[in-house]
Amino acid sequence: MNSTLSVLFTNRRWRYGLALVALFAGLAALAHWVAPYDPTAQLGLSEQWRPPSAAHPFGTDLYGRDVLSRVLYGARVSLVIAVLSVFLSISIGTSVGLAAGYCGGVVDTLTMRTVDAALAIPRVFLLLLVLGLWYGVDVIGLVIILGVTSWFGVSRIVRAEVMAVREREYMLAARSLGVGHGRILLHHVLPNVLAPVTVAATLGMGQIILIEAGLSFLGLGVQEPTASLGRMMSAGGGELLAAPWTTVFPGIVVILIVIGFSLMGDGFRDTLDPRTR
Amino acid sequence: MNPALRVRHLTTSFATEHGTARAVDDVSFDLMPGETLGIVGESGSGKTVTALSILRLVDKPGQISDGSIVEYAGKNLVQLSSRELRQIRGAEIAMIFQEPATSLNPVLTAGTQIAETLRAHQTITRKAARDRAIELLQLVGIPDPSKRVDDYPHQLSGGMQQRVMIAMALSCNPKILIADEPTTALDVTIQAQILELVTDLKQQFGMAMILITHDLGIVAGVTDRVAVMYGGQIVEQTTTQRLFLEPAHPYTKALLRAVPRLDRPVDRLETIPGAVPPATAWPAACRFHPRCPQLMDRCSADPPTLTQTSEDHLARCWLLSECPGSEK
Repeated sequence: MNSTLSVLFTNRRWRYGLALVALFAGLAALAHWVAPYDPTAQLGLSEQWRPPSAAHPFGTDLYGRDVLSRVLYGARVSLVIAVLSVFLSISIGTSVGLAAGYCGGVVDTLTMRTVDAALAIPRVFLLLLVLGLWYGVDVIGLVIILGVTSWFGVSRIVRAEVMAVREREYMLAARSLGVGHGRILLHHVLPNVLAPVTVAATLGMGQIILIEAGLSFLGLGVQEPTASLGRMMSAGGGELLAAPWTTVFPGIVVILIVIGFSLMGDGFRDTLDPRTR
Repeated sequence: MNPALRVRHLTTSFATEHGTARAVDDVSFDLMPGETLGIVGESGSGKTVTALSILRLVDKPGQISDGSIVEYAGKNLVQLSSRELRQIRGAEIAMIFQEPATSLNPVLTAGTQIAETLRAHQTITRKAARDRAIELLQLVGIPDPSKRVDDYPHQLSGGMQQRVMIAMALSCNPKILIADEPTTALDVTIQAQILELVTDLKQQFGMAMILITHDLGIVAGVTDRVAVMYGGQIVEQTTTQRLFLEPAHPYTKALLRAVPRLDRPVDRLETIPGAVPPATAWPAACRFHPRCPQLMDRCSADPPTLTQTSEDHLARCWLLSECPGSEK
């Protein structure tokens, strides 16, 4: 494993991606200590829509709240949601993909046709529908909804990989030595799909952050007064020309985090597979 | 003495779009404890399917449609449940394959793969399994085993990979080792080393071995008895010595003539005209008759049976019953 890490560190994209992600993850995790103000504290009418200054590096918003503090707390919410829902979607997707690919037959047909049907519905509309029915959803609810609606692609990737691996001679060799199905799945098949799953998970992080920002922008995601990057962009949208800082800074942070995850995903793809080393 | 493995009328067929392919057709043989039985034949003669059938590793659309495979303790492998089979595979009968490079999982280290087999059969801690893996690597002649144990297959040479495969196969002290062309993918010097290793370990572990090969040189050097396969059937079966001294079947004779010899230099190597027909379309009667240099009328009319020509010598050919004893 140490050798895997050292190879990863030689990959420039992965290094830059990690740096970006680590920077924002670190700031978000330490938001309580790093943020200069309480993100929900309204600092008074006189502090409304202040442009960036020494006291407020990112300025203040309509309610006189410090944008920098809100960006830090917002990034924390976004990252937590992304990590949890990606974990959920990867878990479901990998399990379904393993089952479909390894069992084949009826299991495969049933699950994959279900996935086909689910993929036929555009994800954004699916989310809008669910969130429309579940108004005022909390963070946990959002995680569940995002996780449960984003595993389809992962299950496809895993299934394809499992089907390829299943026909390899080393599967026959493992069976010839009396290794049982459970052990074969966990110890022989799973490590083979880990590389594409890691890539999918990393890229999925960026996607979920974008989707969550988009939903919050539409007013369906995280609700006020909880800070959220998407929500902040939406709230500041009306004053884009008058007070651009309320929108631009959360936007830049979203972009940087997503770029970070994309770079890391690419790096993983290039290096994780021991066969391509 | 009970045979280590008694195979009777083993028939394995595959349902294909061109009809049923009887890749292995009514194959019977005994494998005595400590003995090495060679199975020889061209590609497509049913050698590998025979080996896979013994461990019931033939997947759909193939299936064992007839026969019995009884191991030394009296269990008929054809009738075992998949759970019982798993206890036999690896622990009592183990197999090594032709291509070491593809028979090892590329994403697992050598040690992990050996430990996997151990842990599938025994309750053993991770640490103990690793120590045992190092011991096994030492046993199969891998230098610096405590370092190599953490190597991935791609970091090992072909010969080393095959040694790791052998270590995996031997990890649970099987009674029977099936080696399916274990040296075909290796270069000649490594071949000799691996064969020597396998025969040494066979002695050391007191195993019986089925060695599948198309190389008559290996047969001569390593085996005690030989079964020659053609068209899914055994066409001749005898001791190794007798096979080389008094081959009875025209196919065996042709195979032996095709081996280049130092004492008989020639310009062109002997070949057997034609190729093995596909298993969906075995020729009627004697399956070798379209390629046989000693073709008679009867050969395309009636299928010959496996008949005893002398003590411990069986062959499937009409020549033997026409005029016994007089071989060309």
